[in-house]
Amino acid sequence: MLGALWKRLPFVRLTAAVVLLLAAGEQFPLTRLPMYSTFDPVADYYYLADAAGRPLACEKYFGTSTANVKKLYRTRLRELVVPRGASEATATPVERRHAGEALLDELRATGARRGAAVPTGTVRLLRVEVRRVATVEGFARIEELLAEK
Amino acid sequence: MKRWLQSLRETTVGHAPWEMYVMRALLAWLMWRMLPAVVPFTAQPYPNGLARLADLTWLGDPAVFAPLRALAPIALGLYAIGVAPLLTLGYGAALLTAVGALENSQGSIGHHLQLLCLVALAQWLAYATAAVRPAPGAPRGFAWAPTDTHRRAVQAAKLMIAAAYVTSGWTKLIASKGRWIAQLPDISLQLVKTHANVYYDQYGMPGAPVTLGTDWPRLIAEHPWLTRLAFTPGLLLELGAVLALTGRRAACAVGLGLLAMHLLARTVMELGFFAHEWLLVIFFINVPWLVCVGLKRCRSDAAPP
Repeated sequence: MLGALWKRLPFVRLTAAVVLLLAAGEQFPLTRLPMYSTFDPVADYYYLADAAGRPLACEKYFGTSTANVKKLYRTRLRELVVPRGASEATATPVERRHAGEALLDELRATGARRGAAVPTGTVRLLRVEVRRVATVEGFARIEELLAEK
Repeated sequence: MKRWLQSLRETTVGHAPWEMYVMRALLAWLMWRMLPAVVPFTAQPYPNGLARLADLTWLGDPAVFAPLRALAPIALGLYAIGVAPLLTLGYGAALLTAVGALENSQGSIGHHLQLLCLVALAQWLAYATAAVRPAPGAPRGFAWAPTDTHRRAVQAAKLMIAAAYVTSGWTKLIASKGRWIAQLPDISLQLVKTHANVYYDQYGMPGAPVTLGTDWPRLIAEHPWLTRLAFTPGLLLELGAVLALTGRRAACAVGLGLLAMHLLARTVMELGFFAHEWLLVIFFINVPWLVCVGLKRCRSDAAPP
């Protein structure tokens, strides 16, 4: 019966491809293309700055994007907290700092291999949380220093 | 209505050989364009996809990657003119897929390469199928594939592009538990994020934005229904991308719609998907065919009655 139903589907090959992509998830080159598939009432972004707090252009100094920095940081943080049964949201300040410092080391190394102008001085990793509020700008930004090295 | 529904089925378009030359040339250019100059990764701490099956860290050695990359334009150039696609396209597809898998094995999943790799691999699979199981009466051509095989490869590319967009649509419905359209006004926060990303990526560089830019996000937050009206067609287009497989005109219409969606995201969110946009232009919109149709129409209008 299922076989007969399958044969009656008008786009069998496409259906099979969609089922495969949805089932496989994120296993390169397979993907569910999950970008902007859900919207939370809070968003956050990350950036890099020098010791004086001046932003450092991520592309120029590290050869990557701040969107990538965020993903890399979160993966390292999860790696630290998951073994003790915690989540990113319940990570301790020490765990957040360790994840940030490890990431800064890695950004310097991959940036140098990319031929980027990696800074020699202290670099800060900052996270900014954004929420909607009833002000003129309409948004509130809360900045947090994650690590500096 | 019933007849229209019955006509909804996958159709392999009888593209002319010259159209498919242009498609292959553009795909070859796109693959070359997306291949990085250097691979800065010497480890795969979080193996993903292909990297779970094989160690790809050798790509991070410039002495290995540089000659492999140097061979790519030769292979892709040969593929563009239709020489041994199993080998030439296979080389380009394997190299790009390996690089993408290593890049995505650093603990950060990006989505700029997957569709291009899937399209190249789907085309390769079509050529491989034709080589192993040729159509009745067709030659088993390794060096030169017959026109019909090229048509199947083009169809495979279209199928993969359509499947990716339909998957993206379903992912939105599944991940948001059917509330994607209701949640849309919160996209304003994502806009604040993407604008800030561009600001801090390029801070102080020539042509970089001079402020964090909150005009678009504020506009969206203040007009939730206008936001839903502007972004909902994108979801419908993604889910309806399957229609692109029914013929040339449908593919062109769906391609133009999806390209408009990408251009809207590029303008409002400062978020571009270069390879996706070009794949739509190459395989769905098919500009050379559009030009050809336009010229024919002009000539027939100008002809004396």
